[in-house]
Amino acid sequence: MDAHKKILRTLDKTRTSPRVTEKEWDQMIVPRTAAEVVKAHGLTKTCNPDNPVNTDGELADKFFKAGWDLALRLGFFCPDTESVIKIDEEELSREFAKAPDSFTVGKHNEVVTVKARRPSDGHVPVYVAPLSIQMNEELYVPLVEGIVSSRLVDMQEGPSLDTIMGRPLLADTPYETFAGIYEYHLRKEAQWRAGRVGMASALVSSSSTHFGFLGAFHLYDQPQIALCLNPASLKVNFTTLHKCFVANELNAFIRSESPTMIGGYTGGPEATAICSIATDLLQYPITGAHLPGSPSYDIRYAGNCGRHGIWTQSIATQAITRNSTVLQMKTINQVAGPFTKMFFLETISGMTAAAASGQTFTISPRSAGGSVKNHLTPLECWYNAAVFKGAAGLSLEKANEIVKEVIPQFEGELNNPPKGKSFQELYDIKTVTPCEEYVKFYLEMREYAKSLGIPMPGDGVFC
Amino acid sequence: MSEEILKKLEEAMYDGEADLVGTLTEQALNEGVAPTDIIEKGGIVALDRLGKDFSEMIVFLPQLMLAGDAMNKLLQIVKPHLSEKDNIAHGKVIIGTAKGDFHDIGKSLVATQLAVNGFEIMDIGTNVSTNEFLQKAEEMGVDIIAISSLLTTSQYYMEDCIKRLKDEGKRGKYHVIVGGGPIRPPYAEQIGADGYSRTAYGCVSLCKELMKKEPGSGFVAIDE
Repeated sequence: MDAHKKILRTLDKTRTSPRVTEKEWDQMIVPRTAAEVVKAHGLTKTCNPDNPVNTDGELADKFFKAGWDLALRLGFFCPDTESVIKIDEEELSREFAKAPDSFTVGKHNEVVTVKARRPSDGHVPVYVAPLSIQMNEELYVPLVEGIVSSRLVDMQEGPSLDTIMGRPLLADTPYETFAGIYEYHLRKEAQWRAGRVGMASALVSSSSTHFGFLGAFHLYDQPQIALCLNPASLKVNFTTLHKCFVANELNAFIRSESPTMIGGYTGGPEATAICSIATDLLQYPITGAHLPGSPSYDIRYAGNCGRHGIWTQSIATQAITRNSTVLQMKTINQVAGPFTKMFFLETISGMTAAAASGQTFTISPRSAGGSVKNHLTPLECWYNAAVFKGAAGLSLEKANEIVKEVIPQFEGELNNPPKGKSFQELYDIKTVTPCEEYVKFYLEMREYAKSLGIPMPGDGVFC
Repeated sequence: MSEEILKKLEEAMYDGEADLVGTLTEQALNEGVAPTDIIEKGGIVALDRLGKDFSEMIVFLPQLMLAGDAMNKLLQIVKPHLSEKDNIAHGKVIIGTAKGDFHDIGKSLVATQLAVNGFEIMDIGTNVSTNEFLQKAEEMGVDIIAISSLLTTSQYYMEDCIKRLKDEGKRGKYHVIVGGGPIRPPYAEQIGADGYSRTAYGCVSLCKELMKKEPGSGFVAIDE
């Protein structure tokens, strides 16, 4: 009941807390407070795009203190009631201290323990694939079968369905409820085909509102990871809280996050980093999350593998992983698509920085920025996993050296990235086999990553 | 004298001080500064600086939005003083995020870019139903309905809106433009939208182009 009580306290606060409009929150309160905190903690212009992976531990510690300060000053905004859920220092300290440093999911041969890491920690992080990229429904099973046929992939999250039995998947309708149920059957079939019965999942990916979640989350063997995503950074809404109650009742592990945008409401890289840290810290008392992880995207290209994106994510991750033993995750958002060199270079950049900075867990890829239907194949997932796991023990200095070598090769294309090719163009769908040219290219890019100093674990299929 | 007040106006616009922009605009008109100069030298110059500084991460979205509000204020005051040939108002746009989708940054960025480039904007927020789009468009007499969606489960409401306009015999009244993460030009064209833009900046060119055409008379995509 303790977990339920926590969500009830949040719900109570949405009714009784001070009112502000969303416009005031977005345009005045968040940017001004974040800017004040950056200044007060002496963090102005500390972002160094020439060294995208932060190597200054003391600076990361200062960001942690600033993020903590910001969390207490801001709280979360609830758009449903236009109220601000404030958290005091006693609540934040208590819930942060109680946050888990590990949890275990999966059954049979698929048991996975998600365990906190520190920067340059040799303990291998957990890799989950793919993000919720939209796919034709007839491609769901072969795609997932292909993705999870490599044991580099520890768990499954996406993709998301385009249609359900040929019908449009309309938000906020019973179609979404059915989408959750339909996804359950497809997921089960795909994991069985790949011999991965018992594999854990992060759910529900085809329905963004609470309907699919309420309709289907209970169908799975528990515990699983519950996707209780926030509407935006520093915000929580009733949709999220609906899901949290159900997740708690089923003893699931709550994954809660929403991206902060560099250049958006939160401001520049420094202010965005502390907003990201504050968003993560506030998840503990507000949603009871086990696995928070507010990533940061650059508003100029809606990804995070360029210099400012890498820097912001690395400092925010290190702030948490140096100052606690909580679990930390952030997603890596590539903008180029499958079978493009840029995609693989973005992956090296984002995943190396993430692993070396101490991330526990990540979910990827976001090939083609997640915006082009069917532009996702198993090979991108396996490459992401190999870099993320292989880079785990690298020093921050080495990670920075690698990222500095790679970023200049693609940063000029971030605003107009190549979308690459679709699953149907690159794979024989019936046999779930990639075309020879793509396998050759994939293996070349693995060799390139190795030449940079990243030990690349084998995928068990082609290497 | 006019140079001095226009410089002050430019700075107030850059800082997004809407009230001060209002006062200075009135003052400039009283001093006989040409309305088009007020718009160009007091407003547009500042907005161009902001656009450049935004791309270089010197200013951020909140500053752009405040400047958008300030530009709206300037235009409200100056408009009655413009002659027919001077009229710079490009059109009226209603903008919102489709039902089921609470993402607002992309939509707000587009609204701001349109506002600072002379469009009259009515931002009706996120999670907007088709009925709300249609009702508000009618009430406000807009030229363009702009629908944003980051979620694939919400993008269907774009098609729904266009279909409803057709069914109700109103397709010729409004241009409908669509955009957002999963939206691509082929989809936009297939559902019968008038236009699509990949970026907020491109949306300004798109809307200007559409204002020269009749709604439903051909698809325009700005995909750069």
